[in-house]
Amino acid sequence: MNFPSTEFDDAVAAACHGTGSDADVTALHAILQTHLEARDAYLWQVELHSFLASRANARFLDGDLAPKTDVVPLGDARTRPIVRWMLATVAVTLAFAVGLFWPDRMTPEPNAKGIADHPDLPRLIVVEESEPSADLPDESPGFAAQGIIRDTVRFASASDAPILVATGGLEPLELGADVPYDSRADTLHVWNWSQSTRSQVWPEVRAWVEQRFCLSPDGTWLVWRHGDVLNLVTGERSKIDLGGDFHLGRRGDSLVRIEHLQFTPDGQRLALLLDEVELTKSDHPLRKNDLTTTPVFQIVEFPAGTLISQFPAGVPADLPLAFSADGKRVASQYPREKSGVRIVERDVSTGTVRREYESQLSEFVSAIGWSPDGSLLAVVGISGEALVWDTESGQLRHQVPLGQSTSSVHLCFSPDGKFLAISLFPGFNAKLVVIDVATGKIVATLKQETSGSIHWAADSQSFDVLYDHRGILEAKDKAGRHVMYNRFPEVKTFKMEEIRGKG
Amino acid sequence: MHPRPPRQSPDDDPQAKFLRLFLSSERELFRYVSALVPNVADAEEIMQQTAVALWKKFDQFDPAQPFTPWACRFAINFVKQWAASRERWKKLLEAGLAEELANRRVQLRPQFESRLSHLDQCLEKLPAEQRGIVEDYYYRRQTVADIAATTRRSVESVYKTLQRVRTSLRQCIEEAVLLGETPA
Repeated sequence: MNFPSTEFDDAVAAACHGTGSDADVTALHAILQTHLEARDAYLWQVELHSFLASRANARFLDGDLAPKTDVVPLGDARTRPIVRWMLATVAVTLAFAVGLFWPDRMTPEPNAKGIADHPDLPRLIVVEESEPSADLPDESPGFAAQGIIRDTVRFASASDAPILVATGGLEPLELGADVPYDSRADTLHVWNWSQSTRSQVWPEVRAWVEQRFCLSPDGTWLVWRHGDVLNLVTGERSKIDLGGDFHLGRRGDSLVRIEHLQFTPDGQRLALLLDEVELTKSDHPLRKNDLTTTPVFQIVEFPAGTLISQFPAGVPADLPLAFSADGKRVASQYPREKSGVRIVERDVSTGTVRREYESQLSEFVSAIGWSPDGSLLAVVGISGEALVWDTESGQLRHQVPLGQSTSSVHLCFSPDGKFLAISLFPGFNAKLVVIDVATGKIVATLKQETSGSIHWAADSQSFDVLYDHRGILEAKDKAGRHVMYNRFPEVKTFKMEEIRGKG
Repeated sequence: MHPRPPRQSPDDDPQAKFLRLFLSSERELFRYVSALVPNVADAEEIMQQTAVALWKKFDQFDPAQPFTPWACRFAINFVKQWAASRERWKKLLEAGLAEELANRRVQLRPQFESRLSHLDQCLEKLPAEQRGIVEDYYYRRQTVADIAATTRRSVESVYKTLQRVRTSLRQCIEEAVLLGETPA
């Protein structure tokens, strides 16, 4: 690399975008080591970049750059940052911080210890010495609310078993604990909350917050997107070849390959949300090709990793993706031509479209779910409506207004199919709603702190809500010092006989 | 329930003091870190670690001294830790390059401030499409992939546009400085 040169300018730009190769970064630093003028050019280029970036928060707070709700095509990828912005607004009041990022590191091999083999471990990290009190001065908006601090833990739960995994420190943790903030919470914790609210620590298993992982429905298998597999019952470890979590094997916004992964209800397959990279012919006279990315879903056999089907992921390119209980059908959302979204049902084995449901929703959907017998499909849109279709006829069975727009939603039918429970985090007023599926009437409405995943008991008489997005708490300890806590998930049980008729 | 302690005025409250100082120097601190680790996501990670460390050590801060240089000393240590754990960034640590860049930036800062005072008027001169990409990327913190999807362009083309935008801005600013224009 020479200086001055286009190559040098490009290397600095790539460093700014985090897309420089190892060789680029090393060559850039080599030039900076030896060439004093290059340092000035580098510093100015970087200064311009960071000056622009540093203005972001101020411009949002000033309202100078309010989200472009008036110009955003509904269902478009732009709506995702807007939802994040809406959540951030909520966070200012609730002192929650939404959003994670941390540098990517590879996970060391999991250990071979099973939960049952694990001896008793020291007592949990306690909060007695720094008991939170919620009397933050009005003048102190807090670190989390300011976006300075983000939660440094990640969670995944099993859909059909009371199993939760999380990243944490080396001490066991209680569900619902507020754990002093630690930016190096990188050890695997596992709870079986039907047996204990205390976690089992897997001290040799690194689970970094930035890594995506998912749990099988029965809570047996933990799969990382880079292909590590851990059996939580036997402690066996293995690998699944998912094709790699990054296209170029290094960190970069556009280079992530596997955005999300989830199991099918039978635990026999994995659904991957991918950014597929394609080269297209460029219409620029100096360019041969352009690089484009397309979001797709792939369904692969677990643990073989064999591809079953692949289909477009639609926009926004994010879950929810809902499988019928028999694992044969899958539903997800796609933008309509002009505005809003349609819900598309596909055959899992082939990826072919079986039916399209006209949602009439003007904005995109936050949650999709099937009834246990597959006869009904329910969605909740961020505009604040629940819709239930008959999957045999495709007819809309119910359209239930939920009161407010919603940004974070979980829904789940009861095992007998009679009730649909929805956990909403709509703006400042989180609530839990239960709908009588036969009539489409709301039979219970309860306030809650935030939204959480719903786990019905087999007899359909009660359900647990696992609140796993509790964010960060900033509070004072007994000495009057402000302390930050990661708020770990908590589980609350609701009995239908007690909540029916409430609200 | 514990009795509520008497409310403190913002002047007495260490968190309020810290926040006031941190927020007033946050941009400068971010730019200081970015001079060494230019990628926004990486710089923000280091900022987050720095913020936590500063808060933990805030009782050692001498209020008679300026906050930003004190904070920068923490930040450069985190930059070094960050670089030390990444093979390709290790050259930044050789022969004191990190410190030299940081010191040189301090020397150049008045010149940079003068140049950057022309930024807004240069942003105004950008074609609307390029200005939109600047707002999406820098202010709304959208990823290049998201911008590409939204604008129906390739990821590569968005990167190239951002590079062109920065070149245009740099040229515009340098011309404005040479011509002695009054910042808007």
